[in-house]
Amino acid sequence: MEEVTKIVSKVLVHEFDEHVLGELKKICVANNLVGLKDASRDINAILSSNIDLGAIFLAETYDSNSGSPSGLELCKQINKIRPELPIFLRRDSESSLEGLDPECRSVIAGCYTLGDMDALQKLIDEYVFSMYYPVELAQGIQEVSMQALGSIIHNTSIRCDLPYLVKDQIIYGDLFSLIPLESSWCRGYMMLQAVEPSISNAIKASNTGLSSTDTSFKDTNAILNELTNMIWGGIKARYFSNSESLGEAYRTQVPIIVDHQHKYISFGSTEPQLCFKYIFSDAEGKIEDVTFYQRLIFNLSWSPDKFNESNKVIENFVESGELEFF
Amino acid sequence: MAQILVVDDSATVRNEVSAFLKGQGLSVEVAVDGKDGLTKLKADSQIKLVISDVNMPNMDGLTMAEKIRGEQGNSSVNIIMLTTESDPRMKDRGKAAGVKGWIVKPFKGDAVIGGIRKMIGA
Repeated sequence: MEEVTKIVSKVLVHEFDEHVLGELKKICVANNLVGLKDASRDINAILSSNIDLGAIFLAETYDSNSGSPSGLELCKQINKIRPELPIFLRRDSESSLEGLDPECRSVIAGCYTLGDMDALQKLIDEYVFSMYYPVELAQGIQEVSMQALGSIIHNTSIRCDLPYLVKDQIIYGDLFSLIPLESSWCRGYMMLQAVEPSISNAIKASNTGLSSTDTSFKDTNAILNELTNMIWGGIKARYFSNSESLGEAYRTQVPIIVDHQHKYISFGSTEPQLCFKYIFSDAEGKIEDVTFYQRLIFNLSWSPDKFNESNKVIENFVESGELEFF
Repeated sequence: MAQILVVDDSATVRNEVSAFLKGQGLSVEVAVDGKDGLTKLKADSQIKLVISDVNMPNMDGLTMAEKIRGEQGNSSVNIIMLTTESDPRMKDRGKAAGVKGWIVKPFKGDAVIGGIRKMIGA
């Protein structure tokens, strides 16, 4: 497991000029951005295989030998398939939308030039890191989740990459759970996503407490259900115990839209979501790795300045799994 | 006839807890929620201990505990909550309902078997 010292975000860089790539690399490093270079030059393939992007860097014009459509045409194409992803357009002349047609203006988050990287910095601040997530919170959520995951899926090693922010709303796998996260300083959901056959294989390999014979989709659902429940309980105990009772003021809701055809889920907010990727590897190599994506979506309320770990829990600390007599 | 009733909506937890207890030579019945738990407890007078989750559909574990003591008038059966909840307010409600112990998940059988045996006199 990587120690949580920072929160990163992945951005797709559709640029081919070495000098431009060098300049973008500097700004990526300075902003904890993991730049994915579009080596295949097939942006549609990249977009369909990357579910956890924070933004896309494009150029208005490309070398005619690049084989790419024009940057402006790409903007329109990308917006059709991934409208939630902010597009940062590099222009040769000016860091404004001046001279672009109305459709382009409506799909581009903003423009910059190599001579005006401050404009790009502003776009990154505004769109990729527009929500501040305390590193301590990410660290705690990761610890709680790793403990829960390890207690449900046995005889495996678990690893977790650095937590990251995403803007896209693509659903990973074919199975996901949602549970509300509610306190006086945040309101939203935790979503846990997985691929059903990989969990089923873990059950069949006796890596869970369920019977390894006659498994059905209900068993995989049961695993995801209990994982969600345990992580939720851990987060609640660690971060929400000091919260006062939620009053009527907290009871606003927004619809959640699930589009199965496009594997897309919207919580009504376009703010970046905090994500974690956990990968289980079977100690004996009997099964393929099992991957879980965890997303935290604070779409209803977010006041990280009021976040603090629960003092009450520390004061009344009882080791999990121990029997506390009354 | 069973000594222990395990009430949890999660099949994973029901399986793990009952398998461990059976491995210790104890007899176990299971229920899927509080409502089911009340029915199973009423039908089996040999049950000496109920181990129950708190958050369950249809009827939660604390409501079930209150009904065991209230509606069923059963003051002798021991009740332990096995839950992800650790909020002191939740525990206070459990104490008021006659709950005798609290385990924060995950279930670690070896850590609690001594207390369980003591409660059921086995």
